[in-house]
Amino acid sequence: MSFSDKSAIVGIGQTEYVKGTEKTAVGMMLEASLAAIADAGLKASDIDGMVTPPVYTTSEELAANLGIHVLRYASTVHMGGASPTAALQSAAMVVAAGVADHVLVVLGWNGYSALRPKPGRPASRPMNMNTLTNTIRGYYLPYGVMLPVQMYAWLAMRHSKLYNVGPEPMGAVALACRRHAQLNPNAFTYGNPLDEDKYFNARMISEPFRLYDCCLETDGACAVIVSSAERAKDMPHRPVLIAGAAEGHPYPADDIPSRPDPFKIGLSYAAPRAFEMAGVKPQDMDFLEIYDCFTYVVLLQLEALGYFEPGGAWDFVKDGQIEIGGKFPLNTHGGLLSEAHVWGLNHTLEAVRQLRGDAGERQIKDAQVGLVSGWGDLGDGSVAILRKGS
Amino acid sequence: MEQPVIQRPKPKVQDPIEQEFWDKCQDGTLYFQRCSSCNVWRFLPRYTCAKCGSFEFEWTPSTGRGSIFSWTVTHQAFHPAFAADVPYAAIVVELEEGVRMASRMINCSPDVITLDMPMEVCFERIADDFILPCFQPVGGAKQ
Repeated sequence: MSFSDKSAIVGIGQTEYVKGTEKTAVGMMLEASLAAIADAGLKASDIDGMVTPPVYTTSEELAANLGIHVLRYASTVHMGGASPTAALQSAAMVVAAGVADHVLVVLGWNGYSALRPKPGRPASRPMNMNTLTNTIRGYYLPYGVMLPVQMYAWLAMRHSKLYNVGPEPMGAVALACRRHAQLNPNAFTYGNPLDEDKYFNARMISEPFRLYDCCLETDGACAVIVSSAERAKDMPHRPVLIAGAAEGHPYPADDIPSRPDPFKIGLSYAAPRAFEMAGVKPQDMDFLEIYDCFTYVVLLQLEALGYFEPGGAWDFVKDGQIEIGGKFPLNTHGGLLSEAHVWGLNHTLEAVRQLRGDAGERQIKDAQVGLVSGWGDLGDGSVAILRKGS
Repeated sequence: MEQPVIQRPKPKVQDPIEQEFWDKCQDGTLYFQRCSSCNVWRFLPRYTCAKCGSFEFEWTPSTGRGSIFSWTVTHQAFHPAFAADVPYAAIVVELEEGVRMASRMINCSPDVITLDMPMEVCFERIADDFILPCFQPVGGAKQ
């Protein structure tokens, strides 16, 4: 059974995106959830399905706070940063199968504050990512490798050497995201532009990643409501249909070094299925909201999505082609690199705004269909193709 | 005043089959699992052979020789135990047996690292009771 176009995103909500807050992750998730529920014209008690994040809260806790007495479906996707986009697949299936009517997908965290605890305040809840945490503690940390910037660098470094990819396309991604953020008052870097000199002169973090190849660390939350396409017709906003959605896992998913083909990432498996389900081609996309934890990870995903052959990144990104007004506008809100790091659920919010025609100064003219990708843990991937409904 | 010594993190694994990997190499030789049924080498430690499904295996000594599959040179000390070591090369090494593992290149400046550079195992004592398998260019230390 295909669930293409059987469900729609009918509500979106977010907190402000900041560096430093007294709010907890759960508090922010509730704030974003209530905003999304209101945006959909629903009451909290209408929510009867939930896909909650792999860390920081549970469906039980959110349901208790929101007064949801009847919860017909609750699950969690364990794919790190790919989870919220993969959660759209789960929500779409649940709604299409009639298991639940209105599914809440939510993500929030103290991506800045949790790493900078203040004396006298309780520490953030722990971030145990299961697979990722176990592999790091067991096999990477003894060698001084504990962060995504180092593990993903293994992929980026080999790829860049094999296919002769220089830093220029990485810079093009960082600069496009920052330029787009200058059109987005929600963005943490709004009013704080970046130029080529500043990008290339920034300090090296873990080669080949310089400072501005790395996403922001911010506090914030996002939420979306997924309902059936049929119900969506009578709801306040123009529906945004989930035309295609898929998740994929690299092999083996729990270790990067031992992969037979390191460039076969989760998205390599997910992308063809999502395009087929939606009945569209990569060239049909009006915009691309790509999970941009690090610039080179964007290039690997664009390759997996079929936009170019290995080594072809520069020809795709050069001359403003990934900027608004170009052929494939990328991360029109600024992305994790320049809007905020909300595990890519902010990418879905942006896609919905674009397809509703609510994106203000950064609106893509006549946007009909766009793509959101997720990347997480050790290269898990997810993708949603969203279409303007009627 | 003496600075407090920050202990290097030892591997923290979940199950005995994983601990065996680290315990075995304490004699100064690197061992990997090899399937007793189809002879395929494997790493990370696994319960079953992904090729034939057999639970039977032997910890089999590796030549300890291999080459650079990939790397990153880390310039920022994310963990205090590595603060004195930056910049350091965290590597993926491909052993002659075909398995690949995360490790660190030591006894060599990270500037000279290249793809496929020949490497050999060497052991770094990171605690009184623990040596960690690392790698250096074949033929020993280089600057």
